[in-house]
Amino acid sequence: MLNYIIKRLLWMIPVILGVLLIVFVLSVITPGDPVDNVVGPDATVEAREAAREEMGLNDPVYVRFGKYVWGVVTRGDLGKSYTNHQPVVKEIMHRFPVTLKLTLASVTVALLIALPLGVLSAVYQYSWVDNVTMASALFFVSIPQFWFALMLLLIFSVKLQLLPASGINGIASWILPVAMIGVGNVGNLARVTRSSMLEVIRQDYIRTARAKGQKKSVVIFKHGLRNALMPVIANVGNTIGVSLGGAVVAESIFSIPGVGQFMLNAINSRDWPSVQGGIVILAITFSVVMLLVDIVYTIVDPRLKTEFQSRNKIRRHKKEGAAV
Amino acid sequence: MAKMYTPAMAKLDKKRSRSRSAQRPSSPAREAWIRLKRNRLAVVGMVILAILILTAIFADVIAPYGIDEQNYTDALQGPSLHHLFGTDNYGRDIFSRVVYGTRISLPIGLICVFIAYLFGGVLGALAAFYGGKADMIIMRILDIFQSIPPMLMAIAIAASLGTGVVNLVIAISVSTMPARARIVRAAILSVKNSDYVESARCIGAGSRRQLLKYMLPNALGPILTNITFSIATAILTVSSMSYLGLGIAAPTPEWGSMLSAGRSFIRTAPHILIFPGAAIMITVLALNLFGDGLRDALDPRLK
Amino acid sequence: MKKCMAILLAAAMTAGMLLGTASVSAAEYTPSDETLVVAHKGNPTSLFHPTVSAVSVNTPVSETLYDRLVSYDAESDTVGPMLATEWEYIDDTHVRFTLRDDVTSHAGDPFTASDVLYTIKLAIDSGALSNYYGMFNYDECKAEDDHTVILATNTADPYFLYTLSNVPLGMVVEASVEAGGGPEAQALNPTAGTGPYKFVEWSDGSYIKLERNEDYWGETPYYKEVEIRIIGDAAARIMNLESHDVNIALDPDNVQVAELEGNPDVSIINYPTSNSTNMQLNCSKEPFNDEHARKAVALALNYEANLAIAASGYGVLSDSFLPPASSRYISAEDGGYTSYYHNDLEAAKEELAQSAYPDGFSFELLYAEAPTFNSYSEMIQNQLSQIGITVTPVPVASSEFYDIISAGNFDAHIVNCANPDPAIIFRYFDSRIDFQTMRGGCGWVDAPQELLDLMDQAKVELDPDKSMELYKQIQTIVNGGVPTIPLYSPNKVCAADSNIQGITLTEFCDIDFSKAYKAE
Repeated sequence: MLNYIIKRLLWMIPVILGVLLIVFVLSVITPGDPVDNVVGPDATVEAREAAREEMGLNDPVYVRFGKYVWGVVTRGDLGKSYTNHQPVVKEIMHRFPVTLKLTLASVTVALLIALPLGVLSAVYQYSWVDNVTMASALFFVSIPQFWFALMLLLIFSVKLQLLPASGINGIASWILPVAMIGVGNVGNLARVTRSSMLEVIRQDYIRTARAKGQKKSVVIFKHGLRNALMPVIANVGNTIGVSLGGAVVAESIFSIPGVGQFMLNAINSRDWPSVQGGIVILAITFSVVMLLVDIVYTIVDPRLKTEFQSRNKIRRHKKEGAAV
Repeated sequence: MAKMYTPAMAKLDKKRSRSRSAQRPSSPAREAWIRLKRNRLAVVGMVILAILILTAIFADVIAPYGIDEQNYTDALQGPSLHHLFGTDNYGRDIFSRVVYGTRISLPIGLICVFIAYLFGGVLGALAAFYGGKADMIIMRILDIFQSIPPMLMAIAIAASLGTGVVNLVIAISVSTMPARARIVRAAILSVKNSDYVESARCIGAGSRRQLLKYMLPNALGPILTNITFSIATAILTVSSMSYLGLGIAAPTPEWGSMLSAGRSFIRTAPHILIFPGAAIMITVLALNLFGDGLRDALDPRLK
Repeated sequence: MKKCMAILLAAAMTAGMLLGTASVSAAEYTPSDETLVVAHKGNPTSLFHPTVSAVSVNTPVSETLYDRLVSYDAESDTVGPMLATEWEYIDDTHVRFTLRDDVTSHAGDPFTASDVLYTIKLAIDSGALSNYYGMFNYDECKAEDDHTVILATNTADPYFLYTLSNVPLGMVVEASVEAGGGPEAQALNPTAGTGPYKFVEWSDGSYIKLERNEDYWGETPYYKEVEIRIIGDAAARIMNLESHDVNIALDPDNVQVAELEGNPDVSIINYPTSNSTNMQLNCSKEPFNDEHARKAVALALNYEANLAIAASGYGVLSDSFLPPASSRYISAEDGGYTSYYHNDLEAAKEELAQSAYPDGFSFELLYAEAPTFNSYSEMIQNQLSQIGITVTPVPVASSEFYDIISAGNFDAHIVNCANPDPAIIFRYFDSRIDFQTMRGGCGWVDAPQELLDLMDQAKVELDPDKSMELYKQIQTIVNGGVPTIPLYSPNKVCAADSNIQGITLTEFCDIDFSKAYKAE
């Protein structure tokens, strides 16, 4: 298992290099002259040329990429913003907690709602609970996030004036963004939970447990849920990816000062170092989360665990055999 | 002795022939179709989709007003008999624009998925078929692409290339391509080692023949289901991107860009925001219903 | 009535320009302990303005931290004393300024004549704004003593004093800059200004806190503290105003401001400006090298509807390429010229029939993405389709926009001509300046020689009456040739708590809240 984790950690290195390459290529193919953002449209030719030199835009492309990667690797330097000349890392890092909190909060809330609903639907398959849950889950999966946010704004902020329409000040202001990001995830996770729970319920060992006369609730929670959770955990990583994307949209709609809003503003002003930085940071975050999910998965999954153990056993046997 | 052919015998013949046709081994596609037809929700989805496609084809007949018919004296009116969904700030009929919007969202969703599957599918099929090193390399490259969440990837690509239909399609196709490659790879792997492919190999079918004739058709089930869901996701992404100003720009009546343009009127004229969003939702819902039905129909375990 | 006022004010302005008058209005309030919260659209690029470009995100902070040599009063369009108490023209290109002797920077260093030269040198060396600093003849600028300075211009410049009142020419004290770590450090922690507010804290991307300069030479500001809160989304700035989280919302979305009209808690500040939003036609290539085609487009547009819908009515229409608020504007009626900038479909069709494209033509309309421009392009597209002209809107990012227009690679583009100096505006129609140098323009190669001569005279004419006559002729020629189409002159709009008074405009039509106070 340790081997596996180390392998996964090492794999992060080419992934990050790959991400850097992708965002760098995207920045190179962008039309428009980045110098304009730095010196303004009224600048003299000399000032523009000086800025171009200072920004290193006169170097060949591969040198610029090399410098970029070197800066990231050695100093954690993602470059300076074209618009305010601040280090991008600094700009992003004080916005990052907001985005991370928003993402994690919405995933947590989604799980807390979706898991019980999915289990209930599966246990009471074809009952009204199941029908209502699955109908609303389908509805939630189909609703466009940003439109849902606009409708929430319309109802709770404009008409009822119950919840704030923007910013992050106090608990109340988290409700709408979390609801917006979480809505699709609730639907999706509830569906996944239900179908994996159904599959588990049909398995022999559950039937055996029931036949042995154990209580239904005990069977479901002790035997069923743990196994049914596996596909859900496998889905959590994906869900977090979707939520990071959702957070970007939410930050724009509710004007939350997070990485997403920062990136969208940077896109508008063609401030590529900031866009690059935002994507790199979010991609690294996502990779780390996926890594954690994979590790949790291997720890929780009884089948994989035995596989590891047996593999180790075999290896040990081999070693012993060799020694003899 | 002449054999008498009585009406009773004719009836018997008919019965026999009917039962014979029932016994005829029906194709898996046919069986799936029968199962699909029995699923009420899936039928609802199909009917809605059919209506949407017809709407797109006959948009000029259905829409009472032009696509960009500005009538300043009628600006910002609520829903009425003249304007079913009301008018926007230029006095354009929102119903007509939503109707024309079907000509944009549906084809773009389809094209995005088609391109993503074309490139992703080839990669996934190659990886699954050749296995070993080729598989490893392709999958690791896809891993790298997938370490950027799809929405972010689409935003980054669109930001780099600029707005417009072609760039949007590129952005969404590229960002979803790795996931499509995985689906195709998994589907082919699941049939690769099955008996019928094995037997094809035994009778000496060439590798391309194996791939095309035996594997693809049998792997098609999960892929078809995924295509349906992918179109739904693509339509959602197109509208989100347009809403963020990275997709299709006004005055093209793309539903997301209509919402983006109307967001300033949330207080005074919320109807501008309600109908285009509802149109997106109904389209996606129909695709999801159909996709659910398709999955159940094609999944042999759920018979 | 209004015209009478304008003439009187013009006279007052002339007097002010030549002599310099010192009028300090009496305080209408007693300073309080309150905090003013201003919602602003973006994080400043720097707090030390002489070395950066004057992007509008910097202005609200810079205008409160730094004083200029002269002040500007938008209401009367006049220049008044600020750090300079009086000034006199030695000749057409040299002006002697007498400076206040009681001014110190926020760091405590005295402000003297050499600091004026230092500021100008920094600004020129930065190269950021050729338009603003190009007129200085720095070699002939000199300090006569600690409180007298002579500033020289390359040519006679009727708008010189106006330019000096501009926020990017706010004065810094050299000793404080050096003590404070030089321009780089000052960009983050400014101490060298002399303005009514001092810098306290900048939380990058979220807020900037300022406090009252208790030693300010002028009137003590009403508010003890100012917090400039950065809220990127226009709608959110208005929502924050409505929820009383901020007192002033800068750069709101016009549509939302229109919805606030009638709300007793909110007052809407709506000032006409000398800005003009124009559709520049590229007269150097097809189709707009054809004068009839240009006139057909001008006559086919519905200016009133466009202003009412795309700009929510916050603006004024003009007969001329100069906006009505410009000191040199003259209407078609008063100037006796023909204006093509009104909706007349029949006349438009006639012009089109006489052009080389009687069956219509198509062109691309380029603009830097902005909500108002999006709306305008949509409406223009629709209106021109009625006479058979097909428009393809091409929205791009602003950096790309200037690249494209500098290369002259466009049919038509929408741009905001934001310069109060009419001489800067007419550069757009000067065929001797190429697209690259002008970074845009109309490429009007067919412009008559007479126009070029008139422009050269107007640029250096100091006498207001003679200048007015020159501008009348320039407007007659330019408006007759229609190289550009003035869509509207945008008003400067902001929304504030209804009890806040004293919000004014800077010379470049930005909101100035440094003199704001709360009415009883």
